[in-house]
Amino acid sequence: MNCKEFREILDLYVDKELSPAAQATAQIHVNKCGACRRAESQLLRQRQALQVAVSQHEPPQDLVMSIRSITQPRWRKLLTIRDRKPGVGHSKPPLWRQNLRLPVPVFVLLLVSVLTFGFLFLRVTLSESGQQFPNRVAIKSPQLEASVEATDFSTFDRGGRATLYKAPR
Amino acid sequence: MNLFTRRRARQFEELALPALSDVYRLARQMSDEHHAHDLVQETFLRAWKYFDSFEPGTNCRSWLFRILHNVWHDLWRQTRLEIPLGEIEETSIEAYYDWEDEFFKDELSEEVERALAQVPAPYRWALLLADVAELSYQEIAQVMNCPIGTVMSRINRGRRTLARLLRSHYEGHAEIVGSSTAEHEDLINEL
Repeated sequence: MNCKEFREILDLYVDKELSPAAQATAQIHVNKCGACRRAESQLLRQRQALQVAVSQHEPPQDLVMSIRSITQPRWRKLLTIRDRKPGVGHSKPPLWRQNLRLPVPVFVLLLVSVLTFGFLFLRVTLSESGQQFPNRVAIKSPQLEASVEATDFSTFDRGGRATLYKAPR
Repeated sequence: MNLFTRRRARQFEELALPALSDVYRLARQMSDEHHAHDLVQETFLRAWKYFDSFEPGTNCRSWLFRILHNVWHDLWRQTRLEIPLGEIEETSIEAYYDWEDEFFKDELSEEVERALAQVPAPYRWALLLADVAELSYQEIAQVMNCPIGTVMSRINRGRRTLARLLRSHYEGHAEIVGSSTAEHEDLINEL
């Protein structure tokens, strides 16, 4: 193989697309020829520079999220797809949906406070209601008491109810 | 979501989602940032829709690149009166890689990207699929839906064009792609 022939198959040689026999022949020539070895080296350096230039770009996060949501069911997409409009962007979920975490001592203190105050409040409320109505007797008005005392209950069970309720003329 | 769909979704997440970055980088080089977003989204939507047609055990990346290529082709056909992907006549293949040793010493990413953007689309596709995605010629032929001979020719011309553009930058001369008469005639023949 001479230099002209090698230059014609340089791309296939670098890409390892030659047959094993042709690859071996080309390898032998490269080992002996400095100029062809240099041409191979320069091609590989160009390839490396191209790889570095292209690999510096990463897909934006909103695109990644959008692609990941393709396989999700529609109801979940409605909850997770973010608006692409400028200014709206990544809005925070409402407070009740946020995963709020409290330190354990703070949480315990809050719990104890709530229970203590709740207990005291209930106790006070119950004690007040007991003082006002010790015997649980219904409220009496003076007029009602008088009418009850004047009523003759002896005729009540013998059909006397009608006489009781006869309106005086 | 039934059991079948769930299993399908899991397979898709295991096979297709890891290639998201690679697909995006290719799309980014074949269009601007805004269109790359749409290209990638449409690619994965189609991939999910036709995931049953993917043969397990084959190269999922290659399959996604093929979808991306089709999506890009559809978009570019609608928005541009650009060169359709036709056959390229094979001309003499001549390597053109002969830089000084200090050429690639400095960071050249911006210059490389700028030069790559000037490479004609069919060559750029072949170049990216071969040098960045590192697909085999057979896989590239399936992605681009063209014969392997055409793939070889496009890879060779893409590398030579990129080398020429980088050399021009290095030597401080502005050069317009297509100034070579032979290449210009080939591109016109594709229309």
